[in-house]
Amino acid sequence: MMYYLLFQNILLATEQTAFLHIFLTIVGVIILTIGGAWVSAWLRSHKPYAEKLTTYESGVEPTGNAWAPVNSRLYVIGLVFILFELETILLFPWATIWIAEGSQQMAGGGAWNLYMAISGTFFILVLGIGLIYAIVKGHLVYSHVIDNLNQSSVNGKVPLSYYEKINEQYASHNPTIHNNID
Amino acid sequence: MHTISNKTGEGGVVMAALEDLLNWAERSSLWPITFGLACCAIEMMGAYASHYDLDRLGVIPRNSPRQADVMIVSGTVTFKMADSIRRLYDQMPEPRYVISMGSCANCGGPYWQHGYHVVKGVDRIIPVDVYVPGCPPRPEALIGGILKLQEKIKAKLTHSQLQQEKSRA
Repeated sequence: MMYYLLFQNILLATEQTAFLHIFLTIVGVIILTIGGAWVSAWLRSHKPYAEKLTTYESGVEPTGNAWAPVNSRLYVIGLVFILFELETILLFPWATIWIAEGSQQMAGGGAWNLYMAISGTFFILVLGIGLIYAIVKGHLVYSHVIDNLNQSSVNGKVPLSYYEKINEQYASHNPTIHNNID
Repeated sequence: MHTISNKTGEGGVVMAALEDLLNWAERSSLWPITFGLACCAIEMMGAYASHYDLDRLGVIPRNSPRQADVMIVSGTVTFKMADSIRRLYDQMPEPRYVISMGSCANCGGPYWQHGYHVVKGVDRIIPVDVYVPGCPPRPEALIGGILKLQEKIKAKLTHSQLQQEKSRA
């Protein structure tokens, strides 16, 4: 606002003036952000040490690498989700507009009905091809994932021999009794 | 015009040392790091919420220690949690302040004798500036603690400020 007051008497109210305002805004934003960052860097205390610079993991010691591989299957699931979501999101307004606008059309709105029917069918067809592709490729079958990993199925029972092994181990071990209460 | 300059007659110009200005800014926007340890945290949340409204004191909880100024240790500090608290304190930028809220954080509270799992006071891990007594303290007590911390920052008597003075000398 201030630069507007400064320049409105000097410059004519042309398109160039409007672009000058935009230019001054851009310059002002650059100066303010860089200046603000510089002032805060100048004023703040700067005492880095190893513990302070570690990755913030809610106080837990950070382990592993941030560049861990992500299953690309999630990408396909995301695409299939968009396929269904897009269909729902766009078909509701399509149907609403067909009815609402159709009453305003003259002579029964034959051309309007044809136009809406063709555009809607085309849209469903395009998404339908994608859906058929996903079905053929088996992206909608979620139960075969474990079979593909060639893992033996887990019954959920620990073999009895494991318990016996642990009991044997602790039978020979003489535990010292801790008593915190004097 | 009813401006401050008319009231004080100082012509609307305020002279201040930069250090005092920074001190004023620091104590007027004490951003605590968001974490609660036990039932004291419920009272702390009550203090944050609309009824007690800590926002009016410039106290806005932050989700990262990088943006936080003050750590409100609200509740029982177990040995398991002690490592995390120490690390979170280390990850906060200076100047950093600590409010120990409630009997458990102050001295171990009801676990002072037989609690094998409780640190007997959070000041054994990190330097504490203000102790808020109570089991748990009411939100008013926590607000009182924050006001007390503001006084302490103004007087430059917090651990962080004293350490800074020591390193400068």
